[in-house]
Amino acid sequence: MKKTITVLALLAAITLTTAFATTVDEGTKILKIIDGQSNFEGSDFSATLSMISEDPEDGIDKTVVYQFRDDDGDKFLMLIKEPTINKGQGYLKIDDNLWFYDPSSRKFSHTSMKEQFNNSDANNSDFTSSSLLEDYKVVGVDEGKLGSYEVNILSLEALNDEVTYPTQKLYVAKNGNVTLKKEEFSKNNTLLRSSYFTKYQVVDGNYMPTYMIYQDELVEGKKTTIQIRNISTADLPDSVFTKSYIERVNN
Amino acid sequence: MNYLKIANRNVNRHKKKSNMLTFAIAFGTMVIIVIQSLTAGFTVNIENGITSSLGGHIYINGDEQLESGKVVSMISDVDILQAAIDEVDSTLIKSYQKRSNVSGTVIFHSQSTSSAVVGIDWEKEQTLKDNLVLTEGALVGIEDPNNIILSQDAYDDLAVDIGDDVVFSFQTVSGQENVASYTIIGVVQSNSLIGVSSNYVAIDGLNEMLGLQKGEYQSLTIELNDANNMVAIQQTIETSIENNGGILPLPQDDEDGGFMATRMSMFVTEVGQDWEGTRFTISNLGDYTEAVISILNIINIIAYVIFFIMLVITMIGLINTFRLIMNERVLEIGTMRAMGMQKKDVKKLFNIEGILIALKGVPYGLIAALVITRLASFIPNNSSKGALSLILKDNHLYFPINIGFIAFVAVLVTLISLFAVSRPVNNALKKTVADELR
Amino acid sequence: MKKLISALLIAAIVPTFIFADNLDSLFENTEIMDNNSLFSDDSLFEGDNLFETEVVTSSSNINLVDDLLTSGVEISGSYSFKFKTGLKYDFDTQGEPSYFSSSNISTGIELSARPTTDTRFYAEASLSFPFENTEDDVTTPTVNEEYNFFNIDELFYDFAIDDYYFRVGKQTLNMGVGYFYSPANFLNISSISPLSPEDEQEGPLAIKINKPLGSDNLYAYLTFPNTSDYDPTDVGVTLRMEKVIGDGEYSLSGFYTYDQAQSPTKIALTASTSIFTDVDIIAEVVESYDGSEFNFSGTAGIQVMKDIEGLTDTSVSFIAQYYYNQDGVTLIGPNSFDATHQLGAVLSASLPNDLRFSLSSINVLSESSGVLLGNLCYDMSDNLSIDLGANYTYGASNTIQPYIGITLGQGDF
Repeated sequence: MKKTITVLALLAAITLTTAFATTVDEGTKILKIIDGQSNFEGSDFSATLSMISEDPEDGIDKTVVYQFRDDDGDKFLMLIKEPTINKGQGYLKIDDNLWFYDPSSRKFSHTSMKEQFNNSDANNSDFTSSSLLEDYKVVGVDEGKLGSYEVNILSLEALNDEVTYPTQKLYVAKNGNVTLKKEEFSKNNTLLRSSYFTKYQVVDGNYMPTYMIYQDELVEGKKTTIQIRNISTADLPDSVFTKSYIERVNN
Repeated sequence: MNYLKIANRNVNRHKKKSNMLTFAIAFGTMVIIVIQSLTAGFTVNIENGITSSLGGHIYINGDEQLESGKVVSMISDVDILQAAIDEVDSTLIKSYQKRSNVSGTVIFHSQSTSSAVVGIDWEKEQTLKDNLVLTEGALVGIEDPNNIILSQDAYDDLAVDIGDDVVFSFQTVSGQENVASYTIIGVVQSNSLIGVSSNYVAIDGLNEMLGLQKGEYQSLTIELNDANNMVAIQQTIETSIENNGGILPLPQDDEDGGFMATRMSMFVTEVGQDWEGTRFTISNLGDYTEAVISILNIINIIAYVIFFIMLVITMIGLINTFRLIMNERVLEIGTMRAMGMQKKDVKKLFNIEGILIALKGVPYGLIAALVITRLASFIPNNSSKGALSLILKDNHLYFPINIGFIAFVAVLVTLISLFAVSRPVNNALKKTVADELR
Repeated sequence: MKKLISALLIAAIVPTFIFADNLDSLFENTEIMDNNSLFSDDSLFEGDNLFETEVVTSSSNINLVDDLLTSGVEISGSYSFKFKTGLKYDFDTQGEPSYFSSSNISTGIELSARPTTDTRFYAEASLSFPFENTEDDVTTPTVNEEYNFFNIDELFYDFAIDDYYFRVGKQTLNMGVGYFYSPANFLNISSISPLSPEDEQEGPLAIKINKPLGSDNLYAYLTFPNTSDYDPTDVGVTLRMEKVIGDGEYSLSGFYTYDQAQSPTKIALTASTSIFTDVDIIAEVVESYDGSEFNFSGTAGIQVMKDIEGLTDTSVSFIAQYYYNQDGVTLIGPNSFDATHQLGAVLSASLPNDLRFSLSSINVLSESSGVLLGNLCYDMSDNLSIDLGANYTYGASNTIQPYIGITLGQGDF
């Protein structure tokens, strides 16, 4: 009898453990889907970026830029629309060469960016790619609700102590498997930042967040809102990355 | 003929023009001396500031390479280092301090400020404890890992009080975000070393936050009784580390020097050398001041360019004015020559006039420079932080007096005066006596 | 049976507790600042509008490239009111100092109309209304009716034919790289004023054709005299090639017009390169030939710009430039003015607390004259700034002018 109870208890434990593991497995699959959704390597990219920074000390700053990228050709163009004082200014980068255009004097200033860009990896993956699966493991999955959306709440633990945020919590919409909210914690489990992704757009079959709010949980009242509009991954003509285009677009 | 008497009388007779020349010479002299004194003061203050900020003469940092190849700042081979220090003649060492430090952000509600936190072994660093000048609070309870001595800069920026809790956001040695909460028990005068002021906590608590094990730390600073021994003692320590199986960096190019080797431990990057355990990087005060002085040299170059431009302007102004004077005194020159004075006599007379004017102007310029520098040095800058505090002495500008340079400027300006006089005089003397008298 | 159920229950509960415990331990000391949040999580995700309706593909019809070129009609501009007053002391006369004051309103208006992506019409005009004050009298301004207060700065039309981009009309043509002096900028009607080097130069009536070649460019210019009636031989032709080599950008230009006596043939070389981080070197050489003799002019300069680490909102820049003009002597009435050798330098700094400082020196070395300008500006707000400064001139006149100035209502729209 004793033996039977022990075996049954073990079987029950194994069953429940398996159920537990299934939940974590599902969570791992969801993480893989999230990573895969934000892979835009190899595409040209153009968009309008608006960023509003709210800082209790510095006030509110709004920046609107038009951004064009050709990663294969190592070309980048940024045109500033706001703030008004910088309107019309442009930065054109081709390989290690950078030109700055001042619309008030109609002058291009050239400089070499070799030292600055030597160790940088300025391409789409900077802000669109995700590699959570490489750095984290799922240690728990809960269900919940965020507003009107059913979510899976994934608890992540870093796989090594070199990852910036040792623990994270992702609130992933069941419909579409997109992250609605992300909480990033310090090594001693203090909430450092909450990120909200309140709008998504399907770009080349993947989901890309187009409205993001980053709230600093340590400094009261400090947050940044980013909106990305007019997204396109169509091939950009070479004529975009020229001085002529900057002059024609500007006043 | 008493040239000096005649020249002096001429100078006093043409008061207006002479005063104008005197003013130009005085102004040029003043600007040159003020600029040179200012940059010299920067140099002296930076040297002194680095010595007091770093707390010693020899600095030992450690790097360790993680499995991923990432290099982090820490010293875990503490026995090797201790053995190396024990080999140095103890009479040469005044004290040594083990420390950890990290830069981050101190936050109080909606206010935040960039700052560094230094972990101190308060039981061992009695000297620091005795010499720490608090503007508020007391050191009671400083061994508690939850307490902090805040720098004056951070205290003012955050508008906090003794007893308030602040949050310090930073990264561990391996680059992970972490947060610590501290209670303010005291406020110390700021001692920032370019950019970031330092706050003090107990080292054990900080090490745990940084991800270090008990007994580990990030740097060791040695204060010597005589700074002249620092190179020799550094070599003794390096030899001992190598003999005990410790690791030192690969040989650097001469141009990079010890400063770059030290600074490499501040960056978490690949360095082209694979090793296990702690790689020790040792530098001394001379390496730091060398790098900072090179930055100052750039400031000096700009100062000398301005100095040169001022000299050129002064000289051109003088030539111009003397030319006007010569034009007005052509008749006088003609009269003197008609009465038998030779060209060289006339030239001698005007040269002496030029020297007299310079000798009048230079002292005025000196006095003006002294007054301006003394007045400027009285103006306190109580909100000094970052690079500004490093170039100040007790929150004031410092203008050392360099007698040699002042003498050099006096001679130079006098020579310029002579040159400025000679050209118009030579031009004036090219005319015939008859033309001059017409 | 009872014991079996108990065992199963224990087996079920224990892992749950462990699981929960793990979660709890993960989120110990968590401070979610709900009370201080400006919004609630739930309020952000109400409704069913998480996904944009539009789907983006590589063949999508969003075309930001063309959108920026078809922005309809835009009117923009700038405005400011400036008032300045101070003392003027003449070292030559050594009389009593005199007061001076000046004020002006200036407005720039720009109109840009883009009927298609390949075409654009642009007009820029500036209006300014100065008042002139007599000495010691700042209370009764009078209008200077002779001042030309309205000026058409640019008026041109852009269009493209394949990869060739045309700009036709009155336009600023910048070919040089110099800051204070730019002999290679010979197509513009006005030269850079060393006292205001960042002002836009007035350009000629011209046709500009640009063919981009990657990071390089080819230009051709036809420039027309500024009158309605002229000889066809007065039209100038310029060809220019811009090339990036290593860390630098270099250009070679050639200008020709039939009437060389009036407009000498010119060849110009420019170079702009970085030698260290934040340190740039520029140089220009121009050789011109008027049919009988050659004239050489050139300039070289250094530019250093640096943000000061550790000090927020602080940056320093230093620019120095030397200019040589072989034919620098001009006649002004009965007198000649020798501008063969010139030197310009400026040290400027952007400081914390909305302060800006600049110290400039513009010198005509061959005339032994020049001006030193020092200025400290405090931006009290977006619409109000105060300037304190002094100008010292030497050479033909030796004067010093300390002043205070106010700029009100400055901005762009």
